[in-house]
Amino acid sequence: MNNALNMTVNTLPALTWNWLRMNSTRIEDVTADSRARAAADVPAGIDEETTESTRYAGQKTAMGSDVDRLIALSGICTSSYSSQAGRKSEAPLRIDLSYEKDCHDLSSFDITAADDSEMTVIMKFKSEENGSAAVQTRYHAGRNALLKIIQVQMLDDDFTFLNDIGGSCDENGRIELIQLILGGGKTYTGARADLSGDSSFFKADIGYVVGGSGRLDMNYISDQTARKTESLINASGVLRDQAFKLFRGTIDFHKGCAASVGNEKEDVLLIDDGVVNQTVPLILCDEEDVVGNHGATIGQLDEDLLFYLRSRGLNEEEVYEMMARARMDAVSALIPDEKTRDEIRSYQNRHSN
Amino acid sequence: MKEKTQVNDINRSMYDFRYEEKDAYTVDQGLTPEIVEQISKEKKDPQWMHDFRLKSLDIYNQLSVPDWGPSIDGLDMRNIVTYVRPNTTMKGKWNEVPDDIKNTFERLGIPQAERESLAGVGAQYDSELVYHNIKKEVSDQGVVYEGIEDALRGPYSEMIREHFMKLVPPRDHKFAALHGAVWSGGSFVYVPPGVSVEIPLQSYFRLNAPGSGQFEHTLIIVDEGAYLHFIEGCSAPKYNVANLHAGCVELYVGKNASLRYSTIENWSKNMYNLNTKRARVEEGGKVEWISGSFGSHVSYLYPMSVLAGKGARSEFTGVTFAGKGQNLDTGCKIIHAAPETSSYVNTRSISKDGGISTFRSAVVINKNAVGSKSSVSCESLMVDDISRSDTIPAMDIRTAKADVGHEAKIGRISDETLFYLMSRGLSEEESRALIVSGFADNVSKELPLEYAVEMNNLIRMEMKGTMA
Repeated sequence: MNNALNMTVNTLPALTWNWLRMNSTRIEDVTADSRARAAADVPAGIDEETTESTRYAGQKTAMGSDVDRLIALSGICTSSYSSQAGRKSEAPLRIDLSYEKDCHDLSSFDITAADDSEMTVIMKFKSEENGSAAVQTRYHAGRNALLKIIQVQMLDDDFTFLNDIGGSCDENGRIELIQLILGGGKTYTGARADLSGDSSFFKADIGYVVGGSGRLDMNYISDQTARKTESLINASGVLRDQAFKLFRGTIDFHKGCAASVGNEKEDVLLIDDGVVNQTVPLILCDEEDVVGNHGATIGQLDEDLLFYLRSRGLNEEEVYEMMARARMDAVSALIPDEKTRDEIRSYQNRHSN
Repeated sequence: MKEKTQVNDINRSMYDFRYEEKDAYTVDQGLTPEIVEQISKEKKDPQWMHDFRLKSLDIYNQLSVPDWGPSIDGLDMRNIVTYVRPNTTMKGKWNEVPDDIKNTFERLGIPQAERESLAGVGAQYDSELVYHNIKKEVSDQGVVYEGIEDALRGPYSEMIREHFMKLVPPRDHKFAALHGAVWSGGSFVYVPPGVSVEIPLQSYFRLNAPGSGQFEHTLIIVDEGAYLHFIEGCSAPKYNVANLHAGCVELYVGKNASLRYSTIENWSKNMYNLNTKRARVEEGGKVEWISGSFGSHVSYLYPMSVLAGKGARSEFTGVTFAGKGQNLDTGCKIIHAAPETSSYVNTRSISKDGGISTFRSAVVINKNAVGSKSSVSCESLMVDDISRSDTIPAMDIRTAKADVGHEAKIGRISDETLFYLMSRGLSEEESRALIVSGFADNVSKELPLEYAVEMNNLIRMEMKGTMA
């Protein structure tokens, strides 16, 4: 089967000047041949089933409808995991995707945290060689539910990866997303949260390191329609060599989301002169009674900090490496799973200079 | 139950008066090669300008309207008269200006301001300058301030040809091309090296004719080590048909020179304000934009600074007030194209009574702009629950040796602040008025006193509404 598609992904919810080339991203000739083989470790209290297609077909995702087209063209099934109402799952659901050389794999997941339940999902994406893959994850956090999705990307430098997330939260439902992007050639990623239940909550902690001629293209959207909703998007990254990164982050306050709050922050450490950093953080506000904040700091290390650490015997390169590692460690430390943290440390040690 | 203060629109009564167009010469509605030829003939353009206009028209017809900003569907160029010449020529004394036009500017306070606080004034009525004057002591310093069309035919013609629409080429966007085709009026300023013009020059643009467009061109060259403060004002009476303003401002700031460009824009609410402003700043130079956007139905306004020389600087201070029926898309663009350049952006926007304000910016730091710094701060205040406010800032950094900071805030008047002021004896209405006018102080404190007072009066007077 040849499913080569030209795709437009990661479109900004409100467009800006076209000459900036940030409104969306065009990806040519995306091929998807087969359903990826996922190794899932399903703990007690989580129900697993395979469905012909996603149960959340109407749910918007961050990367947009072209990923839906890609999935639909491939005809792959959806792996669906659900927690049981009122039950807190002690152990995480682990989904490991190890991609083989020259693969063109696809995956579709539905994650459902039922009412009054808690569920943690740890997804790891690994490859040692070149290839491409696309993953779409749709989720739903029910009433008073807490859903944690942790994604760790440890892909080869020649790997192309599309990682699309979208879901919604009912009243008092919470979605907490942790993404650590440590490797990959071209990565297109995004997460969307529709906060349609009163007092629902979305938090995203994103850490990324992009080096070589790598490209990272991101789109995070918090769509807040209900009262007393809250969003928090924190991105912290490191760019080196000739890396390119585009971060889009949107807090969208709709009419009726009174007493809602949204915060987004990006902190980017630029190490080498060949890097390109693009950042476009949006706050869209159609409601009076809200508070929205955005902050970004982009550049090199503070001169005072650099001086202090150099006076302690470190050279400049060591200081930068230490601070880059510290940024990723800060995100890694949020992952409530020792095994995953060890794996991340091991990957970092193997790939450190 | 919490009560709300009704904050009124900006009071435009002092701007909303009109005189009948008497014996004015106009071209037909629409935009055709024949109309452009007709304007060029009226202007007695040199051949290069005639050709430039027609080429710009070609470009206009090739380009699309923007797909990213407020809707301009209500603007139909087939209904716009692009050239209206009042029945007078440019004068150097107010008492020689026809009474209706003179009265217009008297009511706007321009002659009085000239007497009290300006080094020179240019006044444009519809498509033509009707008055231009510069104080003798300023012209004695070698400062040139005259109508750009006169300058085009005078000793500075080559200088104008070298600079005209070089910063804003017609290909830049559709309405820059439109401007290139039908531009008329505007001012030319040249400040010689080392000359500091201590008091400001001002141009005021008044659009009086319904269904017409104003396309003035402002070209300012501040030579090495010189200083100038230029003030631009504009207004129009309100009509129930669309009017269009597509002016163009090109500023050249020389090595170690400094230019402050202040604008209080108060177009009527039937105006489509699609204006383009751009500055090129050489080594050690500085441009300061002070921008107050209060009027128009739809605005696209983003002054751009191109920091072309080492150590060049740009500061942008803006306030936008969007009331009923207004969709004001404002902000700025900064291109850091040389090492050690710096930019500072500080804006405030207020949305009320269904108004929409959008802050839009771009900070681009090129690969060669090592050691550059940029700081952007934008704050938006939502005054009621039927308005809208968006912030769309973009940053494109192409060197590691840069330092960029950005912060944006959207919110309403906090209950704590209100409570604090009310506990000091102010009514809720007074407290809200004080908070909102203080919110816009970033701009008013940068203006000359007379203009700051005018701007504050505009806001403060109307913030004192009644309890709903």
